[in-house]
Amino acid sequence: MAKNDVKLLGVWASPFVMRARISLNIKSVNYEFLEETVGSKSELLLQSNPVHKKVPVLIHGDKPICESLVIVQYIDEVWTSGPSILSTDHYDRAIQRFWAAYLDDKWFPAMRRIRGAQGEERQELVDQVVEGLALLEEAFGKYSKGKAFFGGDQIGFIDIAFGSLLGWLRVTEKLGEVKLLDEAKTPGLVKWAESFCADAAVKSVMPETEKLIEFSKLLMAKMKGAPPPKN
Amino acid sequence: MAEVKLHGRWSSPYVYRVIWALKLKGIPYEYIEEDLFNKGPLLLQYNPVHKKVPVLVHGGKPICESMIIVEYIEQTWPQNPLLPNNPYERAMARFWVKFADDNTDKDSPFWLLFRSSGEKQEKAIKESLEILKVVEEHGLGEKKFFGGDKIGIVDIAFVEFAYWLGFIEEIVGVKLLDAHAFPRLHAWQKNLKEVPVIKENLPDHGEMLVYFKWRREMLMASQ
Repeated sequence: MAKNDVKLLGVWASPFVMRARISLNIKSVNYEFLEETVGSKSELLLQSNPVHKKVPVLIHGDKPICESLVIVQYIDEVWTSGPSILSTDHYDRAIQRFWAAYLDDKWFPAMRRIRGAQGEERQELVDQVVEGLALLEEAFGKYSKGKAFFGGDQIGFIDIAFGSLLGWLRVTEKLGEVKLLDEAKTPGLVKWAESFCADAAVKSVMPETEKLIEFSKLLMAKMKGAPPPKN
Repeated sequence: MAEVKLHGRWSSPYVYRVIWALKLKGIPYEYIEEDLFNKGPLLLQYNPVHKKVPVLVHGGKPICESMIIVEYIEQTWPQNPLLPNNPYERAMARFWVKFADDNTDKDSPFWLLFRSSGEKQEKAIKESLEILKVVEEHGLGEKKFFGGDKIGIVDIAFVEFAYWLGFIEEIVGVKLLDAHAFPRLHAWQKNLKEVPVIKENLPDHGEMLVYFKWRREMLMASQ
């Protein structure tokens, strides 16, 4: 299979798509980025991901791979000449998978719901997210061993899983008028976030917060059925 | 070999995912039954984030989350592999493992229909059937097992369909995994339960019936 025939179906605003892009960048893989139009799904997308009809989809040769973390693991296994994304140690790998699952199954879903929630429910969600960040701060302290990333000197699996969510974290803070990532409570994570966003593999694919904010407003308006805000 | 311990609960499908993986690879382990209403201090120490079973402890180090444990077992004890060799097929397998995790958990339509009645239940039944259809057509296809000729990681992931779904169906009085509607999945369910390792490692049928009946009664009473 030609290793240089790599396409990625995605949208610029998606944190899950970002995970695939960061991974490809880490491995210095040339790929064609096929941007899906928001609100419609291409034939290629429907064919490549008939089960979920969602991005990201990595198409290697003519074979589609779906689900962001499955894609990241695939990239790690196929392009072995680049730095490793997952640890070679079985136990450390299990820990990495654990935190990625925690982020996707618990932390991010709670964070996404903050803006649409009110009163007690909203406060509960905020508390959950802040508690989660405290857990992640502890994990960062343990696994980074004083280095810049969860993966040590290099970006690893947890960095990718978590860092890709930073854009939407900032959107929630801005539009939700709530402080989540707090220097006073989680100084390690604040510094980590800076390092992550400045990393060569990340910089070019991290969407600007302002653009995400506009996109988010558009989405919310569409959901409520109102015309999009004029800016 | 370092000691292997499994903290579990007799009725949990997630625990059985791990048991099947250990048994299929012939790995000896010590089983510790946890009372979820009275969680042992070790469990809370090993799984402070979720405080749940299963937890595998290998040489004193805990691993949590059933399918993450299964991947750990697969890598640490490579005999009788549960994952294919080829990276693309591995990615396919992991896709379906995630699908199983996302669509058969406690918030899935299968359990929602067990916890509800009336219109809510009708909706959950409809959604459950849709999920079964996707798995039958896209996941299993023409294969005997999700892993091909032999059981693989995806078969293990669909533990709920293998056995637990039957109890939901029986207690609620709704047939979902019907032989006519889902001939391939239905055959898979039968074939899986005939594999000696699986057959010999299932929670007791009678006890499960009692347990499910009790749970359903409690849920209906609290509504």
